[in-house]
Amino acid sequence: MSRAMTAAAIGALSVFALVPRPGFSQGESGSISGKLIDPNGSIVTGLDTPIHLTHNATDVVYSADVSVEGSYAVDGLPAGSYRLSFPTSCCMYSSYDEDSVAIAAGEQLVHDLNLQWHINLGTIGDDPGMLGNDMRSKSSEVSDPAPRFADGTPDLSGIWYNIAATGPGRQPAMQPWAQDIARQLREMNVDPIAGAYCLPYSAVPTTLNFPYKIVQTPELIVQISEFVTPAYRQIFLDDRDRPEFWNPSWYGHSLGHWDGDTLVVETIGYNEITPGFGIHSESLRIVERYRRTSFGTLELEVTAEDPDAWTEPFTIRRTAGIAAADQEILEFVCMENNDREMNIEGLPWRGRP
Amino acid sequence: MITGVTLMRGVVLLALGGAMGMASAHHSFVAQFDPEKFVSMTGTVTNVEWTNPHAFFYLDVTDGDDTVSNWAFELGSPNTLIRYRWGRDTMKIGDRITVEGYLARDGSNLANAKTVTFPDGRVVNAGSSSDLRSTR
Repeated sequence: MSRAMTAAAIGALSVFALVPRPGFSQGESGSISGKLIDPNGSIVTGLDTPIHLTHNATDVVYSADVSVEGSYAVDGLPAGSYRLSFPTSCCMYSSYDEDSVAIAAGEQLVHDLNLQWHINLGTIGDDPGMLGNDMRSKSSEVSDPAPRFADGTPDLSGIWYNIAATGPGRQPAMQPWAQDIARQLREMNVDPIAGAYCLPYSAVPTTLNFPYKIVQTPELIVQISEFVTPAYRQIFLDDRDRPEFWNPSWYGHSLGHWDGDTLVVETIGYNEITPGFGIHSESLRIVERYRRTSFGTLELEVTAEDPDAWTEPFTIRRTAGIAAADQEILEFVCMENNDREMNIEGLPWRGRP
Repeated sequence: MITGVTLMRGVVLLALGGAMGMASAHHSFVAQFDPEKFVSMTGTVTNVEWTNPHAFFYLDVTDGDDTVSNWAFELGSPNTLIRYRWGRDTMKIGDRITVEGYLARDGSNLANAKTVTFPDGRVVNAGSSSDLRSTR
């Protein structure tokens, strides 16, 4: 993982201690190292996200990348008890946490991490988190300056893939009537994820852990998302008005403008069942702010509000890394064989009870 | 040959709220397959279905009493498999392969494919990212 992407991945941490190079030794410092083991006892390869050790007494965080060969090492650790955290993205391995890992002064602790399956049970070719690790560029150019068009407008073009565990964003704070509907739907839907039924996964597909491509012209931005139905989304920058007639829809109607170097996208016109934002009404209004902070990094802040269904606005933040230059968005036709996949006995997904 | 291995650990399921930022890669395998029923089978490929949202292959497997049964194995989607250098011609009918995975909860002759060993000894598993292929 590049330095820029590492910094982005751990950006949420309030304190970050630089990790010395392997082999570094210091009188009283200890170290911890080990391997990642899957539930069958095999070494886990292909993950290169950071592992964090938080010193319980001081809350100082020591971080290091896990190698793609499946090992990790953190040096320069003062003696004490640590919280060990290895956040992973959906869907092969669950995030790993340990509350209390004791390291004595000068100790070189060997500590393997036994990872648990997440929901895909290790199925070949079914892990978007692993795919993201693979597709994102490892080249040094990711830390280069963000490109611009000749007129100075930031150029967001490229294939992007969100970096793991950049949450927050669980559920919006819903009014009681909306909470009640959410509870009813959980009991009603065989699988609560609309995307599993070949419907959209989210009103804002760029919040998902799937690759997407931004195609940018002065008057129109198109987002093309793999694995997502529908795969395209249009953002109009040509100062047009909202349409006079509009039927509420899954992605709504998006108008964009530039606020300095930030692309601001304002969307209204959603239906009441579009996913990703809890139970909401057709009053849902979502503002996305995209800012390319380097060649390889795109920051996204999504703020949603729905005064008819929620008690306060709801915010999601994502950091995306650029895909390697030899990657491309590929076709995915969700409906082809999906009835067999779902084994849902003909039950449709429901957005309202 | 079929060998069963009971896993020591269960699967931790995280809550899948509607607002979660990450989506499953289509559906939850753990809802369909049993993490306590890990198997390894060796057999002969009888068919490959290169379909969305998941590909399948089928094996004739001979059990201890010489009974031949046909098993289905589920993979990810073709667009992801191609990035793991698993193309349409990677697995051919008649190939003798070994596969590891988890049995379906419903007791049918179905499992997910976690690791596949091809006749030439090449092993493909979900973490074999070093094989990533250009998709341009």
